[in-house]
Amino acid sequence: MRTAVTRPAGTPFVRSMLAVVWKDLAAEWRSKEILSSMLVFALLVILIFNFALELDASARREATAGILWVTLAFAGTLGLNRSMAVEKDRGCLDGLLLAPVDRTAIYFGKSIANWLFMLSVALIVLPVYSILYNVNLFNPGLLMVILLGSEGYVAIGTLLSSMAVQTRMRDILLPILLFPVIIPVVLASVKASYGYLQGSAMTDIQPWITLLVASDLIFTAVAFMVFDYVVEE
Amino acid sequence: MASKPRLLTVLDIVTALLMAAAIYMVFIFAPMERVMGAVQKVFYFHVAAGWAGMLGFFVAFVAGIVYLITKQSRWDRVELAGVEIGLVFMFICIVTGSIWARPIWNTWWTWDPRLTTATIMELAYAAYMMLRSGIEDPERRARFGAVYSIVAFISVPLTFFSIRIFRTIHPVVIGSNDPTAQGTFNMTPAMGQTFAFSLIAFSFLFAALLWHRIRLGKLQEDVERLKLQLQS
Amino acid sequence: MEGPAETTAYFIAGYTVIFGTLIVYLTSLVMRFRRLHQDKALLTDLQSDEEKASLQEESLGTLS
Repeated sequence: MRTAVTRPAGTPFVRSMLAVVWKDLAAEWRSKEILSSMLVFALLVILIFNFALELDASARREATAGILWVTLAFAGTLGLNRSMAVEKDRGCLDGLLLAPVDRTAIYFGKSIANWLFMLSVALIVLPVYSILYNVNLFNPGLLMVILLGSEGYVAIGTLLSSMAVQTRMRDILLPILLFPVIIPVVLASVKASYGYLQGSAMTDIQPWITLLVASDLIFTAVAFMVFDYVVEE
Repeated sequence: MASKPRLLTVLDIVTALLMAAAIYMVFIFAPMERVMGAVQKVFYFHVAAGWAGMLGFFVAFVAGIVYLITKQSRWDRVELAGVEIGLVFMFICIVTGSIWARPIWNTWWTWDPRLTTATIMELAYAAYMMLRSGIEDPERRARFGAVYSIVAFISVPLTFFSIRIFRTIHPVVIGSNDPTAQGTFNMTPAMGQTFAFSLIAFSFLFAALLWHRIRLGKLQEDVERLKLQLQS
Repeated sequence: MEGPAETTAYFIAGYTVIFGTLIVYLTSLVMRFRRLHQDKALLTDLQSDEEKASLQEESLGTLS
């Protein structure tokens, strides 16, 4: 028996979590609607910033970190909304919840999938931005900040979007719920990115990184603890 | 609905007396500050309102946790009451702070940690109200409200620290003395007494309002239940 | 040393906001209470009417 089936590694929790991630990625691979909409939207936001701020060379250096994070945050709400709305509309959410898996495995699965979407958008936006504005964004510190910042963002974002899709206002509600509570993550990310892009001393960047990691941990833990109550019917 | 409890009547009377006394102390008893003049007297109720507002959001946070554990709708009413009253007091705190800042800091608004945190908090709890208004099913409304009241309250200290890393000019009247803060003053004993009294009076005002608002929630629920009964 | 700054206008504005907001909130509480009490009285009346009506129907039903 044991040799007949090659079982994926890990506990049932990890396996069901990976199954959710895999399901999201496979669905996205077929439809491509989340990534394509996030991406086009992100590029449009960058273009609008160009006209709105009249960016000359020095202003560009100052504003890059801010523009980058505003773009990611806006594109992020778009992706979060879509990824949950798809579940809701196709009745997948109910199916998932009926399945005999740990609810928190669903939460982590959805979060990881959303995280991957956000990172892929960043991965395309960064080189495009570098080319359009002639700023070199390939900085290991900045990449780490994007990794950390988008983790905190999707940790709370996944929780709140699963609430928002179950209300009457749906799409409008997510940014209103999300932005006031996500400010520490966005602010720390902007400041840390700015520090890395300016080549500031590590002592200037350190407090922001600490705050970012602390926020990530706290938000992930809280979302993990309360997610059960959001999906229970 | 049961008639008004006697304790609540007592609380109402005590609150009214305390508020009257606090107003007397602020307007007449407390001395005029040497540099800032009359506007310094806004400080007493400004801080007291901020305190009551924080108390309201804290009550909502605790009630949210208890609701998720017990699933009793009375905790949902406590939570909603806490948020609503917290919003009212926080609004007073922000606007009076702005009025004080105009002559002292020479600007209506500055991106100071406390000011900014208070405003973000006000927005987060306004979002809480919108979330609730978007859900018809009372049980789900209570659950989502509880979750959001917890998340919103947890993010408050993080927001505060994130903005704190910028330089602050907010005076810290109690506790440490930051030489860069503008508008600091030393409290005379009479000022201290007035300040302490304002805090006590606002705490009572908060408790009385909270109780009334919880009773209003109960009444609302009764009316809704009656409506449902008649429809069926 | 010059005397205190002339800031009475701001002082008055501050306390107008404080009392104004509190009074508006108290009024809204009282209004909501009053409306709900009215609603409740109306609904209880309707309910008792309906009970009477259904009792009458029942008695009619047994007669016929």
